[in-house]
Amino acid sequence: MPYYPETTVILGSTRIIREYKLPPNAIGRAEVNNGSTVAPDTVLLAGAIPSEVIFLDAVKLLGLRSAAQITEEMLQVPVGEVYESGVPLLINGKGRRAKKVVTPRRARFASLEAGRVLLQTDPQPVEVRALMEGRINSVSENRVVLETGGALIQAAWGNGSANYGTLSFAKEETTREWLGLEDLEDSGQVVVVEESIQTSAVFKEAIQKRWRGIIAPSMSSALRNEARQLRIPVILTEGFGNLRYSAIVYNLLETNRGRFTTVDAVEPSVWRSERPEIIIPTGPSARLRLPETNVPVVAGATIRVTRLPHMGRTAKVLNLPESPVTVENGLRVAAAEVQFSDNSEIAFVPLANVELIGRPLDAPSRPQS
Amino acid sequence: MTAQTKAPETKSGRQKAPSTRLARETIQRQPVETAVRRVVAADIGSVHTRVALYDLVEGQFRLVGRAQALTTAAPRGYDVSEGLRRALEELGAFSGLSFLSADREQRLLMGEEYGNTFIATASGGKPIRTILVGLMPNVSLESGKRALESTYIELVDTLDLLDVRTLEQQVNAILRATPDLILIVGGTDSGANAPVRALIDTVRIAVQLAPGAKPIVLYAGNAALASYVREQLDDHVVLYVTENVRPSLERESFDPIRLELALLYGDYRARTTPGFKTIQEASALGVLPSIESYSNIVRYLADSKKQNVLLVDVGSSTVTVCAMVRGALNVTIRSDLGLGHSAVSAAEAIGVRNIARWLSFEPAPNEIMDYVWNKTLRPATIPETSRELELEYALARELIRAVMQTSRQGWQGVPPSAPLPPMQPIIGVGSAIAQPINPAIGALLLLDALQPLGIVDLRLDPYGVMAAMGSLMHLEPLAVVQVLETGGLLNLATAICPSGKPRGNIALEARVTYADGHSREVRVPSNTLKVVPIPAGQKAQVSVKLGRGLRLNGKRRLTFQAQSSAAGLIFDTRGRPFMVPRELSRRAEILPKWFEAVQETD
Repeated sequence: MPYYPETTVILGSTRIIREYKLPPNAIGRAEVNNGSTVAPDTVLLAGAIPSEVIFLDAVKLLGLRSAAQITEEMLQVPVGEVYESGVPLLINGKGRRAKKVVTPRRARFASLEAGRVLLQTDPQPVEVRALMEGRINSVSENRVVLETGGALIQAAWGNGSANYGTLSFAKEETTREWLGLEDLEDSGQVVVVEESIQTSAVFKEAIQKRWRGIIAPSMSSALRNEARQLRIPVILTEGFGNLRYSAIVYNLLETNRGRFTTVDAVEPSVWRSERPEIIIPTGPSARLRLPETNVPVVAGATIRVTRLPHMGRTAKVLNLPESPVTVENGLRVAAAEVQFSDNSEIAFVPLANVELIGRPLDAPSRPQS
Repeated sequence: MTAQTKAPETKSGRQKAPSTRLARETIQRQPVETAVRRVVAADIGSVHTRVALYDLVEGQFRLVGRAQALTTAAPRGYDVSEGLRRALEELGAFSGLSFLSADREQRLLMGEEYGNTFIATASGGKPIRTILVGLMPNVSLESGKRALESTYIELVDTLDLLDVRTLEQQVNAILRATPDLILIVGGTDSGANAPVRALIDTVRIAVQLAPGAKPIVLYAGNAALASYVREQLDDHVVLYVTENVRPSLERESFDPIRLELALLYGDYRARTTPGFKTIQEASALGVLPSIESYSNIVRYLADSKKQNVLLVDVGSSTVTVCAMVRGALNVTIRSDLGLGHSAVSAAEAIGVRNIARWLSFEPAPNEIMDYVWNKTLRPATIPETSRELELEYALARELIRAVMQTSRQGWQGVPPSAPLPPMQPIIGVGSAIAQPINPAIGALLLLDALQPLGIVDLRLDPYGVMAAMGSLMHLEPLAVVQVLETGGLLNLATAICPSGKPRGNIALEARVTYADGHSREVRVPSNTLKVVPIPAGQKAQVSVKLGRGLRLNGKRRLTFQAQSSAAGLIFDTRGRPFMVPRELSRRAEILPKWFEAVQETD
């Protein structure tokens, strides 16, 4: 029976459609129109996240004895609107001796009930930027869909940040010794670190040299909190531990050296569908194909292995045996017989440990006429 | 056996899906006469969606086919019904029956008109973020917490009368927590109203101010305030009102609230998981939480045999214990423990050192945390190297130990530090236990983690039968009895676990006499395990004589009957309680020996 593994897209040229949303607790709207072309720093959505709620004791502030004594006449402004600091909301009496309830800072007057004024204090502004060139192909109140084309590498983990810059490699940066770059100068570069990150020295270097992002194959899980505190994106293509790059990922990065690159290092959650991604956009093109997802693994498919001992290796599926196969540790599992791309070795790998990469390696990125 | 509650009608009841109303009515009426003949059961876990087909074979219900596919909830896809369709397609191919329409839409062909009854349970998905609001921490809040143990929730905050936070701080805490569910308990049915009203007002203010999706509110407090709750909250939230979980100081009433939580779980998932509603509407009972089904079966087994029963489910995102002890049902779900989705929080809760004590090697710095992080990133993957398998089994043992520690806090009349009381049977669920290298390894994991005493039947549920049968119990209890009695659960082993500390080289001598008359003698050294098979379909008489320091059910000599099972008889002479050696060199020697011992039969 067909087995539908996960797909982790690793393609040199594909159609890319991405949805942008405001955070769930934000109130705001789209700032772009359908069909418009956007640049990396274009603001797609803008809004605000309501901050703390504060309660003001109106009975006490108005010099009353009970909530029942508050009358319509005391209300100076409509409920539900946002007011600047110092605006009187309720007044009891006239002249200099009048008692007032005043906004302590910019806030929304949420309600007046049981003698209490409820204020939602100054909302925090929030903006969602495009981070890459593209064309808007759908807009709704709090959601924008952008389309572009280019290379796409879905990764394993990200630290929750996003940015863009020129793709460069740490090795060459070290030899260059940052000639001419002052500490405060933006390097403009998203840097590919060749080895697994096992100490925080890389983070210090990134701060000092003003990198715009870090791409690494893997990292010690002990450094996760430090990585999350960085303001630039850190993205791991393989996972945690001391793992090397998949050849397919490294080769794709290398062929795009010097190109504009977007790193969306969203921190993956097992309950969300967003994944950390490296996008090397070339602009929208209707001639590019979307990646294939939700497809079964079949003979001839290109797969990538997601567990040791073959972690990260790509292979071509030769055969899908109907009976379970015993693997190295003795488990009998449904497996695929595969031939690895790097050395033509043939082996069985558990189906649970394979993923598709969006398209067979030899498949064209454009539809065949 | 099951809840006989009648939930008060609410205005918001009108908003609920028809399947939910059907579920409520069906459950309340049960047991009912049904024309159930063929049952298709689905259990949607975090990693796998399992389906099973039960049909009449020679007048008896039997498990006749099963299949599974990866669950297609995020991040794998967007529609959870897609995974169900894939599993049903496979089941259809095995059975020659059609469960999906032939068109592109692939509709679920379920229900009377298609000659089957479809039931569905679920355990997967993001736990429901819950705030518990009640009066007194040791009274209503305690009851509320125990009620919440019956479903898949993450308790993010509690509010009570002794809370030192101001009203403003409480409202902000609720807003910051962005709960999916607020459970309000508190007040006995003849108690004071004012404190409960104040809590209800706090909740109302918070939900009014909450931006975006509003939480569900379930009220299970002072019955006299039910109409006040509706008046205050019904316009702002989806409101459920049920009977008071603590109608008096002396009495707790869990069945009504547990039923309501079960139904609410299905509704919550339908609101938040694409495709879930399709399944909910096709199912005769909506989608019930798997734990509700486990409870039904455990209660049935315990009542029918008048014995304690223990079920342990080690899943990817949750670990669950369902135990019937001294006539009381105890349910514990730990959403922070799991072998996949929750592997990181599990390792943090358990501690790396506790996991490492089950390893025969010294893990590299961060190796265990790196391992669990990768498991969380790719929860469906399986260990392929021996080193990773050892890590997986170590984690599984500690997960069981951790959830048992939590569960045993609530077992009435059994001190948490006392040995595990007699359980007959112990049932293991979850792929690490149910689908190991060899059935005996599954048994070893249960023995290591639980350290049971006496003569214990160990059973496995490799096909997700427990979840399906527990649901079916609402419709056709007879079918459930027949499936359970005809091998629905796999007889894994009969474990012979003496108490005490073995002294001397030989801890146990036994004579196993098979039904065909032949017999064999067994001498088991101290501190080891020994497996003696019983051929399929046979029974054996086992006479045991124990060495110095050991007792079995308080005796030195004992004779009993044992049935055939996948692993056979397992003589465990490690004594109780036993400790894994702290020194790595001793562990490296002893752990592989235990591992090999249960796989060796002669």
